[in-house]
Amino acid sequence: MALADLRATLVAGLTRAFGQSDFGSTLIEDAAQEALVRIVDRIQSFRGDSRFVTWAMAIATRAMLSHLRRAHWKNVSLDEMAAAGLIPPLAAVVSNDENLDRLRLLEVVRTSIENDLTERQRQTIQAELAGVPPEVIAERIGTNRNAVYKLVHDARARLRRAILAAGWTETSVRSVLKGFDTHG
Amino acid sequence: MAERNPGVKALVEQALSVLPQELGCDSYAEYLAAYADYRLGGKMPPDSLKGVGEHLDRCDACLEEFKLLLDAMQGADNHLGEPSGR
Ligand SMILES: [Zn+2]
Repeated sequence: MALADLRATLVAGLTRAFGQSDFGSTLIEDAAQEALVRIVDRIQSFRGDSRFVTWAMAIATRAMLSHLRRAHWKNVSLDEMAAAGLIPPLAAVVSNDENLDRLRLLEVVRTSIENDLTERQRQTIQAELAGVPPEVIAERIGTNRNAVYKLVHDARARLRRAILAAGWTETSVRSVLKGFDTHG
Repeated sequence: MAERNPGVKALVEQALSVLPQELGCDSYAEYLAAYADYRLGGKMPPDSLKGVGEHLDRCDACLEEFKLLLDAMQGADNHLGEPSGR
């Protein structure tokens, strides 16, 4: 496949996935161009375990998505991200129709995030709760996505221990989680 | 609780199903294309790609990226006039 054909294929794919209307065609053209440079750069690492076009499109999708995610969180600091993912204390959320088990579980999670996690783990988990993607968190703390995932993984393991230590079983937690869907 | 903070439910679910050892997003990124080809072709991925599926179950960011790749490949295959998958 000639480079010009590959470029046109990437643009067709990105347009389908991201919808041209939302960002205009320039961003998609730019992402395709950026991806093309990376593809040429990394062509030696193509192992042939997928079609070439899928491998190339994965690089283009990553370039486009990364660009959008970074742009979306551009002027937001890690502290602000973490604050956006803060779970409110129990007293602030109680209302008459609240399910008590849900509140108890929420409180265990909230206090565990506050007390059992390192500062970095807490910031990362709260930023994740606020919907911040890993490459953006990685950029803020000067690391890569693997290191961010390690923070998230270790934090989840600590939360799991805290939930079980508070007397919950996996079954009882899952039955409360089910209620999230039916009661909001 | 869920409507006040929809991520909390996902967080608790992910905490419950945490594995002793998990690799990060960058470790799986280079296998997304192969995994996508199996999915697009309607075939079960081989055991060697099992870790990719498990990571997608645990990582919303990579799952979003994977779904976008599937969409993009449909656009690409339409453009090329080829059936999807391997
Ligand atoms: Zn991931």
